[in-house]
Formats: sequence, C-alpha cells, structure tokens
Amino acid sequence: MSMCWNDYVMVHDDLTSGGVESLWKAGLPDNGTVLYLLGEGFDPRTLVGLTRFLDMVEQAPRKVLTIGLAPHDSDNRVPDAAHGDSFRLAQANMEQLAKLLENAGISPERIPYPTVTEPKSSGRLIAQQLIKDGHLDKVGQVIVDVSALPTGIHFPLIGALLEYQRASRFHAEIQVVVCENPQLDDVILNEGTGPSGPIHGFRNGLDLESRTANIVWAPVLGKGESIALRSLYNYLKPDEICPVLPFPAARPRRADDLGLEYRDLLFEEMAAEPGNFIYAHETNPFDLYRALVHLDRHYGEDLKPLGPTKVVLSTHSSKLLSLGVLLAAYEKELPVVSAASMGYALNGGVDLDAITKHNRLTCLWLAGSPYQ
Amino acid sequence: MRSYQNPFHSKASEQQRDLRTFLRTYGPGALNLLPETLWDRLVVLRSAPGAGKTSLMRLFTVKSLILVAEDLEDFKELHGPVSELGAINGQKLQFLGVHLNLGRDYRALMDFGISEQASCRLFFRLLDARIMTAVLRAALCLANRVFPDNAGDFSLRVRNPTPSTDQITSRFGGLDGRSLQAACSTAEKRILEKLDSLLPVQWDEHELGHAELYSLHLLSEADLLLDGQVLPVKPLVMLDDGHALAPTQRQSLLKQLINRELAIARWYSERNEALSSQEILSEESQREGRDYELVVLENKARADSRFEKLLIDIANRRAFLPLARYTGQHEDFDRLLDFDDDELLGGHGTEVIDALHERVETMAQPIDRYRTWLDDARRLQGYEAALHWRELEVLITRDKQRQQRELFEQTLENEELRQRTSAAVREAAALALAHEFHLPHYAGGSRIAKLGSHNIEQFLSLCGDLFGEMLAEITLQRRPKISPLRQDRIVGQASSRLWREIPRRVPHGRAVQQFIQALASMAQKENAKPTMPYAPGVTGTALLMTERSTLLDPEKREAIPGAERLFHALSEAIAHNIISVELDQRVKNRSYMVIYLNRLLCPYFGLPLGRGGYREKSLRTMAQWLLGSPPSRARSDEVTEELPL
Repeated sequence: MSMCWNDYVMVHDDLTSGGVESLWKAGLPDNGTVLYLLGEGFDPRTLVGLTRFLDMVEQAPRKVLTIGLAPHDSDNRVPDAAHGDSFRLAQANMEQLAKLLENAGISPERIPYPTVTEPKSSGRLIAQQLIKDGHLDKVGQVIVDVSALPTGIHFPLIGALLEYQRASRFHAEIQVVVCENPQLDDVILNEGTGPSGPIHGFRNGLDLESRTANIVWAPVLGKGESIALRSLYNYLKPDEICPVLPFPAARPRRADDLGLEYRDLLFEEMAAEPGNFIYAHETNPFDLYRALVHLDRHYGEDLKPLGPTKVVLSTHSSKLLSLGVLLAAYEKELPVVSAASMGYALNGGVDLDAITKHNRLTCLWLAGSPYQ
Repeated sequence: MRSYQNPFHSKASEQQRDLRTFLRTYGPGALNLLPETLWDRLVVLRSAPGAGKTSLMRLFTVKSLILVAEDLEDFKELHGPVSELGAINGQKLQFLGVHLNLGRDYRALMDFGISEQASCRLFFRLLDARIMTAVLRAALCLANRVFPDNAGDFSLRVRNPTPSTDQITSRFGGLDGRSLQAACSTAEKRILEKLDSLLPVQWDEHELGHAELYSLHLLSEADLLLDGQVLPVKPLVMLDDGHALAPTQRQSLLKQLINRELAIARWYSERNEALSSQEILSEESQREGRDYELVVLENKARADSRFEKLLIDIANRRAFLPLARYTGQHEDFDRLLDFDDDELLGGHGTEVIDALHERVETMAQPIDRYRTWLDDARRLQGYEAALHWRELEVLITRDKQRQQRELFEQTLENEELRQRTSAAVREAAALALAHEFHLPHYAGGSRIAKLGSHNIEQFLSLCGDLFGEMLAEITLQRRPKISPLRQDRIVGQASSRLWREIPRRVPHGRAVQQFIQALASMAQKENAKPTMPYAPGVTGTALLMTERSTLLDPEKREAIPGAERLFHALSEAIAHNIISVELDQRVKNRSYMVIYLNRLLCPYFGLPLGRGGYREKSLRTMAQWLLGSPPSRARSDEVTEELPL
C-alpha cells in the first residue's frame, strides 16, 4: 500500500547555518508568485520565518498574506485585562510586520477573522476565503507559516491547499514552515478550554447518526493537557485508546514523564491498555504520519472481521507533530477532534529575548515537484 | 501486589458498552424529580452543568429500558420507579426512547453564508434525518436486529393518510425502513459534507431543508412496524444540550416541540443560563403546565434536600461491589466517612477546651448574667464542649453588643439560649473552631455530599479521591475508614486543584478568579465578625434583578467600567459550574440574582458550606472587582500538622 508521503522532503535548521532557505529556493517557481501565509498572532515566533524569507535574495515576485486571529481581531474581542500581554504582543508583532513589509516593498494583504456563530467554523471559512478571494491566482509556491496559527485554523488552511491541488485547480509547490521552541511553549499558558468537537474540514463522518463503527482514539500527548484530554474522552467515548508518545526525543525521558503525568487519567479513568502506546519521533511529523497510517490500516483492514472501526485523532503536542496528524488525517480521511484553547497568556516575568535564542525553523514540502 | 480499581475514577460506566454498570449505579431517587405529565407534552429539563440531565435521559433510551424491564433481579430498584412513570409495564417497554445531542454540528449551520431562514431549514432537515435514523435504530434494537443490515424489517404505517402526510412521507423517501434509512443517511451526509468542505460551496437556497420538524409529525401519525406487526411502543424523542444551539435555532426548535398537536413524547434539556434570556417562548399564549413542563432539577432537589441523599446513594452504589470484593465486608461508602465528633479534636481536646473556657469566662464578666450558661457548658466534654464554648462566645458577644440594655440585667436561662442560637450558629462556630485550632472541618458523608455542589461529576471525582485513600488502607490490610483529618486534607487538595484549574479550564478564567477572590475576601471579612451576623456564614453575593438587566444590555454595560469583563466572567463561571445562580430571590420586597460559590471552592477560602448567607452588592461594585490588580489572596490557613502513618 503506497502512502502519499512515504518518501518526504523536510529540512530542519541546524544550529550552525540555516537550512529552510534551501528548501524555499528549491521551490521557487519559474513562473508565478511566491505566497507567504502567516497568522497575526501574539506568539514571539510569529515573524521568525517571515524575516528569514524576506532576507532571501529576491528571485520571484512575492506576496505576504496575513490572517486575523481572535480574540485580537474579531467581533468577539473583549477588552479584557487578562488578554493584555497577548494583545500587546500581537500589536507589537503587527507593527514589526508592517515595517518588514515596507522595507521589502511588499503591500500587505490580509484575510480578517470572520464573524461566526460557531468559533470552530472560522478555520473553514478562512480557507474558503483564501480561494474565493483569488489569493492563489498565479501563485507558484505557497509557504504556510503555522507558528502563530492555532490548530483550528492551520488544519483547514493546509487541508484546503492540498485539496485544491488534488482537484487540479491549483498547481503550486506547497510548503509548511514552523518555528519550534519548547522553552517558549512552556511559558505560554492556555486559557480556557472550548467545547470538544471535530476540526472543520476533518469531520470525515465522525458525527453521522448512522455510524456503527467503533471509535479508536489516538491522542498525541503533550504536557499539561489533562483538561482537554478528559473533555475529548467524554465527547468521543472511545472503545479503544492508543496514546502517542514522543520517542525518540531530545530529552530521553520525555515519554516517561508524559506517561507519569497521565497515568491516572489514562489507566484508571480511561482504562487504556498499556500495550496500545504508539511512539513517534519528536521532531519528525512524517514518522508520526506513518505510525498513524499504519494504525488505521491495522484496525481497518487487519481487524476488519471484528467489525468496522474509525480511528480518530487529536493533537496535544507541538505544532510540528500536529502536522503529522494533519497529513495522516488528510490522506486516510480520518476525523480530527480538538478542545481548543480560548485564549493565551504569557507566564509573567519571563525573559523572552533569552528564550527566543532557541528558536528553530523546520520546513516540510508537502506537494509539488518532489511528489510528481 | 494486587492492584485495585477505583470505581469513581473509571469512566467506563459512562460508556454505552458498560450500560449495566451505569444502571446498577444509577440512584433511582433522581426519578422523583420528574413531573407526572411526561408523555403528552414537551418536557424541558434545565439544570447547572453536571447535575445529571444527560444521565437521566440515558436511562430512558431503549437499551436502558430493555435491561431494566427484563432483568428484574439486577435492576429491581429502578424497575419500580420507571414503571410508575409509565415507561415500562412489567417486562414490556411502553416507549421507544432515542437520545440526540444538540451540541453537535447544528450551530455551525449558521455560518454557511446563507439567510437565517435557510439555515433554520437546514437545521430541521439535518435533525429530522437524525431523529428518523435514531428511531429506526432503536426499533431494530428492541427487536434484537442489526442496524442498518435489517432496516428492511422496519416500516411505518400512517394511520389516517392525508395529502399532508403523503408529502411528509416523500421527504423521507418512503415508509419502509430501507428507503427511510437511505434517504436520511443521504440527507445527513450531504449536509455534513458541505459543512466539512474546505473548498467554497454553493447552495441553492430553494433546495434547502425543511420548514418544520417533519419527523415529529410523521411519528405522531404513524405506527411503528416490524415484520409488518405493530410495535406496541410509542417514540420518545430526547434532545439534549439545547444551550449549544444558536439562539434562533433554539427558539425555532422549541416552537416545534411545544406544538400540542404532536402525539409523541418529547423531552428537551438545556443548561441553566442565568445571564441570558431563557424564556421557553416569547408568546404569552404558551403556558407552563399546560403547553409544557419545565423542570429545574436543582430547585426540585434543593426543595427537600433530596439531592444530597441522591448523591450519597450514587456513591454507595458505585463503591459497594469493589469494597465487598476488596475487603470481604459489606460496608457503605458513606459509613466509612463517619466519625465520632471527638475525633475532630485529634488529641488536642484538653488544650482547645481550656483555651476556649478561659476566654469565654473572661469575656463573660460580670458572670452573673451568664452563670447558667457557663455552668452548663462546664459539664460538657469532648468536642461537644469545645463547640458549645465557641457557640457561647458568639452568643455572649451578641448579647453584650445589643443596643437596648436593661438597667438590672437578669441571669439568662437555658430557654433564652435555645431561642438565641440555631443550627446555623453552631455550624459557624464549628468552622471558626476549626480555623482557630487547625482542626478538620470538611469531613463526613453529609459535608462531602454538600461539596458536590449539585454536580454529580464533581461529587464523584471527590469520592474518587477519598476512595483512593481507602484503597491505600486496604493495601495496608486495614479497615478503609478515613479519619476526619485525612478527609479534610483530601478535600483541601481537591479544592485547591479546582481553583488552580480555573484559568486553564474556563474561558476568561483569570477574570473569573478575580471575581471569586473578591467575593471570597468579602465573605471572609463578614464571617470574621465576632457576632457572626450571617451564620453559618457568607458564601455568596447578590445583584438586584434590575441591575442584572443592565448587565445583560451590551450598550449599558459599556458605560460601566469593568462591567464587560464582569459579564464574561460571570457567564463563563456559570457555564463551567464555578458559581451557581438563583434568580428572583425576594428579600425585603426587592428581587435579587443570588450568586453562590461552587461549594468545592469554599474549603480553599475557608468558607462554610451552607447556602443562604450572602451580601448584596451593586453592579458598579462588582464591576470594580474586575478592574486593576486582583485583591490580596483570601486564603485560609492550611492544616500543617504531620499525619500519623
């Protein structure tokens, strides 16, 4: 059985020299524009990729498209002192962005955050707007920077690009870049957990009343996610759980630590079987993608005589690993569920300048010439 | 070493596959909360999160009723009440219960970029498809057939066909099960595929949806048949979590459900939302009692303290089999939390009583007036003595501060003491005693049940923590009885955990914490007064209903600094059961919205557990609580004594 990304193209920055630029240059179109997509987030990593992109020697016409994010840009915005840090940082990022674009001679374009009744609809609507507004016209290369984009936005966005490509309405090199920094992840606090449900665009038959399949849930575990995990468990009521742990990892005991953190939750409350754990490389989303595709094959084909099953995914770990979930879900039409954070704040008293020294970019090439 | 399962932590009983455990541990007392008129009009169930609406509905699904009806041995305690309600008759089901959650995709239908009317039609079409599919599945389940393979065994037969029913039938593809199932499945898939489409979609508004909930009309007019034979059951459609719908969807749905021409049973549940309009319908012609029944679960339960007994019953049921298996004894869970009051003194009885005795004797000078009271107090021993001395301290303080003093003060007799004191004063005295001498307070079955705060999930989680301690005792081959000190410590940890999780769990969590801290500070200040004027103590605040209306108005609250933040904090705090609210409480000819802390937060702030004590505050004052830096942490002293192992 072949997999779309059985062979894949990915570059990590190493500490001595940049690596992602090589991939970007390799993807430059002979004709067409290069489109760089990013979120108007508060995260200090928001502009890292763009800054490097704009520093590249200009070899093709370039466009930068930003996506407005709640709660900083929506009718749902609340003047709330608790959002003070994140609001101020987002404003600072946007001012910096304006300067970067001015220096590069690029006119800013943006998709504002839509007015929605159901917040989970926003990602889907932004993805549709990207296409409807003609932002992809004459684009030869798309770079989606997910560093500041929440899962509910970047999943539908990347899914839409891949789908548009598959429908042969779009022929471009599709690359995704993410700026990782585990230390920064530790100081960004999630505030409030929204209701559980499928990410729009990745429902894939989960909510059908006529569904008879058993649910096998594969959550990709990360630190401090017990509230979201419990909420998703109550929502899905899975028949089996296959938690995913990061291994190998930069810290060899990371998987053990997560197992300890969630011991009561997984084994006592959810009755997960110890033999069901799956392991995937901490910094290789394609390894996770393969593991999840194999999981789906195992339950879907190998165990078919026991009845139909539906593997459902959720991601609670790094942005980088979340891309592995996205790829598996896209290829095998697996549902992805989330209990998204409603807001973010920075842990007080943190020296951001010191932490941001450990930023590291990774670029994945998802569609285009390497796969033809 | 043998490993033990904690029955309170296991969520397996909430799974459909472990229905027996769910039914076995379901407390039948909850059924007393239901009204008599269940089957011929809309029943609206309303409660705070976690109060058991979904579990109540789940009990009436076809699979549950089959088990209850057929297995008298295992479910005899449920069989009686369920029969009395009319859901079963002996071993036969009377109703075919189907349960649908309204918290699914419906709200997102409003974001299709089509008109509100078209969105509503789509909503009805999707819901119709799901209702019919659920009824078909339930009917096959009743007959022990497989869905969807045996769909062809099922059919509907309209009793008195009319052009109108023919038109409705055509919308569902026909009356035989296979066509019904195919049509409903196709309709559902089509809508969900469009909802899930990442590429732009086009809608032809004219092809959209249903103007009404046709499934309810069809089910009202038709018999359910299996292999051509009429099934002797009527449908019961249960729609859960209506608060998740968009407001226009909710209104449209209720209008459909309230229709008295419908001849099927229909229940609808939603969360209590004290900060939004929750009228059933705005038309005055709709009357509660005649057109619908509104059941507010907490109000009914609170009316005669049934809810706490219900919680204890649930806990005992959950723990019964594991305790019997692990200890070889049959003991009730709540009995293992009981203790002799003297245990509260923990070996420090003499010093506590002596300290109080000396203090009260000193402040009672001149003693003549209180001689009888003091003489009686000296005769007491143990915790009873300590509590009584503390109680006397309050009463004597009040007496000394009274405004009208007599010229020649007489000795107060026991009758005056009985008139001046109350259970509330003793409760307040007990808490003050605990704080002052670092004694346990939050212990015992009754207090643990109060800490559940009418939230079954929260209560079971707390019981899980206590059962964990019991398992430790069992592992050490000791009787699994937990001392009050240990119970108090476990409760304290659970309380801290609830507090700490607020920012992570609740949107606008830090604003919620700011509100709670301000409320707790205010309460602590009131409760520290030596006369304890609001015994058993303040645990809440109140807002005039007129000011509540101001808070609900976006334009008006914009004019009040902090009001916007207050509104969001209160909304989320209510939605996540951090606070509970009672509307229209009358005090001195004024109407208030009373806000109480979740009882499980009270230990964190050293507050009492009784409801009733609150201080009203103006909207401006409450809004100011949310401005600037939070007030200083209002935290009670922790017990620091080492525990004996």
